[in-house]
Amino acid sequence: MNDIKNTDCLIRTENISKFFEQKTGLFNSKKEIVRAVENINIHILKGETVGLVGESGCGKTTLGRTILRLIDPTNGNIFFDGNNITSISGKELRKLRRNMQIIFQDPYSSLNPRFKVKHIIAEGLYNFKNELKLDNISIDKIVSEILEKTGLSKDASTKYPHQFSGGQRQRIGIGRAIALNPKFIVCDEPLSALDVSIKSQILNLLHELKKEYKLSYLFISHDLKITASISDRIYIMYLGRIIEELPSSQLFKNPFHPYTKALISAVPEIDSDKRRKRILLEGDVPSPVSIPSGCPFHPRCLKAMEICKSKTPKYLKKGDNHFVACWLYDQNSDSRHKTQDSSKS
Amino acid sequence: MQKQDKLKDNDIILEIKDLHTYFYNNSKNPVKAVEGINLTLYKKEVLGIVGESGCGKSLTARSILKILPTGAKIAQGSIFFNGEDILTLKQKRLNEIRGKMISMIFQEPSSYLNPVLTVGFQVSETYTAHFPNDKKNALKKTIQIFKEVGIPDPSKRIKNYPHELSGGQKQRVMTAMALINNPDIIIADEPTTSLDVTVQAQIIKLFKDLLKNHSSSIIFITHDLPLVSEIADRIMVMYAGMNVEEAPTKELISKPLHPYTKSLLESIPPITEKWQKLKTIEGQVPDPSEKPAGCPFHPRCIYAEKDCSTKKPYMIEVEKGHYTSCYHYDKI
Repeated sequence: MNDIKNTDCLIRTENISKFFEQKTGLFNSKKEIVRAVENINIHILKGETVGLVGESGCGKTTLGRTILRLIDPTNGNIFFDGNNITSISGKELRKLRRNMQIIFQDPYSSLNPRFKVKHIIAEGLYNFKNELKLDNISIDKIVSEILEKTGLSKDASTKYPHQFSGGQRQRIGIGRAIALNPKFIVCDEPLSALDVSIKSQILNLLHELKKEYKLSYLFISHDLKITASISDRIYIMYLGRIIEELPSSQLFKNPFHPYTKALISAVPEIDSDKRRKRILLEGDVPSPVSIPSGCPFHPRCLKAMEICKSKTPKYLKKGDNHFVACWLYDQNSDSRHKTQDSSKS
Repeated sequence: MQKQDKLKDNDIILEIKDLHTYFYNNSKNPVKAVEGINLTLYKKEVLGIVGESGCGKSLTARSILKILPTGAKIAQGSIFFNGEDILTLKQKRLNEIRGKMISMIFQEPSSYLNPVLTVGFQVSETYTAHFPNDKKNALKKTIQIFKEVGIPDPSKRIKNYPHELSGGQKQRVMTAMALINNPDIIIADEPTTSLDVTVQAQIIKLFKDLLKNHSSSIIFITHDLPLVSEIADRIMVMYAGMNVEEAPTKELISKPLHPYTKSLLESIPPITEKWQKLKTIEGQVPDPSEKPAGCPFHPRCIYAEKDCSTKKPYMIEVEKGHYTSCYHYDKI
């Protein structure tokens, strides 16, 4: 990632980790540490859509929320537009909030049922009324503009969320996110609660808005096809770590990591000629409380070697924007067997 | 798995004729959630039912076992299982059929398993309910069926409670429960929707393996057309409580004869190098209480003509085994 200039990056994370403490046992007597996100370095360029893919419980939502500072990281630094935002607070954080928004997965629970649509979309605008020098008339104008852009009818503004279908509610959620003209939006599984015929509508809308507002997206999803179709670059996550990074055009053509390969092989394909050979993984994703040693994927990996059990693989560059953390691709192959100290990553 | 040529009338195991299931909640007018479904299921066949949420696919399945949600009632129609009309059966006979001859796998295993009973007990209960005099064998049977559905270390696992198992394992337990009596029909209602893709692939593999060893027919309900195309022999597409197309899987995919099926197939994102605007179906899925007149799909259909908004369509057999409910199928 050295060839990327700092100034091109909108978002950059430096070894961020987020651990949660969890009390278990009789009368909550024991403490467990859930290592939800560990040592993650990602970057998002200006105007880029970056996909984040992984199975449930792998920490993708935690990572998205940590970047937005909705959750504070345990370790590491987050940079937004070149500024370190890891520990800012008060006025500075408030200013930042204007530039970062989120679209939630569930359009039913993420909209206040007692607010009219007008109010939902304008809430951020009211909040920043003084900074943006807005009055009620200009806010109304912005709201009706947003309604039009998100494909909702004008009379929607005086209705309540329950009067809309799932797809329309997701449009309201998107309208709320773009109201303040942000630079960066985290889309946290924005399509997974929607019907098949509605998904493609919303995906098209997200792409149009991105061009119009010059947005950068972090697109979190477990659906590989949808993520590949909207993203420029994709990170694959497993148990709180990034295990592969690749341009989305390479995802179905040239994946490296055995986990990525297995994920892709599991995608159902309608055309029987295009069906890939299934790589069936054994078992389920382990709990983030007890992450396996070495490469976290080794207990399920069909190609696991001795070294995978003990040493964490390095994150290696394997092509243009293509990185992988897997011992199979460590060219210094002798090191698999003899090295003792080269595996610090 | 194409056995279309061999399908004969005496191989029919389940036949639904003109089924209407309505919701009679607070209002005077019933909500017509299922409106005139006809369905035929053959022995040893996998039938996929595809549709979006609210199209009545789950309600159709639940009507077969008469396990309807509150407020719903079967208003009209008949369901013949091995020659008997389920809808006219007495409770006692119905209980014999449920779980023994027709069983069901639900979408969310965690909410269908009792959290305070061991999974082994819950599975063996399904057996002892039908064979009360054979309690001795129940445990043995349970362990055997756990092994078959791919639960490792079955003699230990039967002592586990549902919360101790992962989502994929719970779905295997549900499958074991549905299979233990070797039923004639298994109804799987979105069995993989709440699971991750890698686990989904495991469950689909399990279903395929089970088909080899069991003589059950499967009704596989889902909204995921690519997924069901991997396992089903025939697919039935539903929209707004009606059946809009029915055909052998390969034919339905290669030559859809209903605009809705065609749009569904086209809205699957293709694997491309660069962003391509996706084809969409404009508009929303209609509210079941305010269905459009005529063909329910006509407000969203690009092929719609004047008569579509007035004439109610019915299923036409265009080719052998390939039915569509579109008058203008020749334009597609």
